[in-house]
Amino acid sequence: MKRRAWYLPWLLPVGLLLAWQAATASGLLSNHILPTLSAVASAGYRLALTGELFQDIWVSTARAAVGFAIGGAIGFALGLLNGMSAGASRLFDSTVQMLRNIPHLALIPLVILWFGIDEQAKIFLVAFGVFFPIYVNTYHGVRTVDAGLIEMGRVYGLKRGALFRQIVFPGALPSILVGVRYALGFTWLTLIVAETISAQSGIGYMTMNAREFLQTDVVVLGILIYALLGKAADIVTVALERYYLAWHPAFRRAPA
Amino acid sequence: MTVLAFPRGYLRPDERVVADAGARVTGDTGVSIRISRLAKRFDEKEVLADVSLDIEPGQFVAIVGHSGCGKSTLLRLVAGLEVPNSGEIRIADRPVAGQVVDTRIMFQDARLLPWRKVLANVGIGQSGGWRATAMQALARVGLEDRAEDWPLVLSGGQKQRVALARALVSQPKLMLLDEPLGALDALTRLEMQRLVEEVWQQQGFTAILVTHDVGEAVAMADRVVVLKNGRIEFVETISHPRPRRRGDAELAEIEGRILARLMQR
Repeated sequence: MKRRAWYLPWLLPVGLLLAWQAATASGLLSNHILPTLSAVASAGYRLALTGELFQDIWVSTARAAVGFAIGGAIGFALGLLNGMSAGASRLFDSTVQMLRNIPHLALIPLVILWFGIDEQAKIFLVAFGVFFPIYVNTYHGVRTVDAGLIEMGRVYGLKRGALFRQIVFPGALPSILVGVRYALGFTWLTLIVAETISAQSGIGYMTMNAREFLQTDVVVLGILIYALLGKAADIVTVALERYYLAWHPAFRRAPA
Repeated sequence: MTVLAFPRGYLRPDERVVADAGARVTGDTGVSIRISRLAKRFDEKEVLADVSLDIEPGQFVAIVGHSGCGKSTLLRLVAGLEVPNSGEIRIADRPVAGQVVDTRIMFQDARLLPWRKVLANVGIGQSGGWRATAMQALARVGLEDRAEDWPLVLSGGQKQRVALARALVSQPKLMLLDEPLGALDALTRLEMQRLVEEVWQQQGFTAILVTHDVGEAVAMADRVVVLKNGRIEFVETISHPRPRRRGDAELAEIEGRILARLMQR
């Protein structure tokens, strides 16, 4: 295998940062529109010193994790159920498909009425957003497991539980992981919007608060942190794919 | 998803084979099969009509015919994967109900689980200390050095050898071969035929081979059943001694005779 330059994926983001710094520092781009990179960095440093930054990152991450766990678990369970039982599929699937077409962010006014602006509201929205990609991909994954393999498993004496563990689940896993990847994207998207509209902590709150005081540097800092958190979540999924799909030729040399 | 239940203790090891010429059987042996007046329809299409066939324990029977003649359906009925519309199949004198214990199938595609290493594929459905027996079976087909490889890196012939090892692990009493060599290249195919024949001679299971290759059937089987339009056209007994040499004049003559009957309108 030819060794590829490890820095290749970083070339573009680092180049963009440099271009940004050059444009803002030289006055080509007004600081009212975009602060300099160094100003953003020093805002980050300042907030890190007071501990506020880490507090907000922690709060947002916890919300993302809890919402993801709840929505993901329900989506996964229902996806499995409907994938394996034609009866359950007939009962639930069309309802789920109907709900799926509601943009979940359109529920924000209702969610605020139900839960106020407390934690539940944000967790509910994240869970709602995560549910569908996990559900759809689990369902699809289970439905498309090679029927020949299942038949083989039965002939070779596998009972229901073993059949699921050894054939159905691993067969559906590539599709499920695609769902996880989409769901992680939804998680951050939902959280940003929810925190921006109504929150008393978290990165979304931090940026909205900074807007009130015209602290453009903190606003940009918040956006960059979201990008980094999103990337971190993606790295985790890629690692999962590499581990669990090591048998799959498409993942054996997955690009990082 | 329904997993069919099947009765336990279906076959007992005290059944002894009625060994025919060239006593080849050691210890545990094959089962007898009695198929009577079997019929199977899919919707309105009649696939099998009034098929009756007796197979002695340890016998190697090949079923040949045009594609769509019902030969694979017959095999699936014996395996309990399909339910007949009428008639009966008895294995070791018991009616087939659901999945049949001590029966293994080799499919046309190897059907290995791509997410399990070769050795774990061979040991599927086995419990307690399966690694050693799986390794033995793998060694039997000459692939012990590929135990820790993923199935997807194997060639077609190697995959079928792994599938054969997987079938052998449980010491089956009945082996159903659903065109397992159909997709292999000519040379690999001859090697596999020899390998299957060898393990059959050593283990003494009853074997039913479905194939569209009359030459293969004649080379391997004790009896060749010719199926045409869902009925048994005729049965050819081949008493030619083993090991059989490919290109043998007598075998070629039998092959020609069967082919001629098959091609008749």
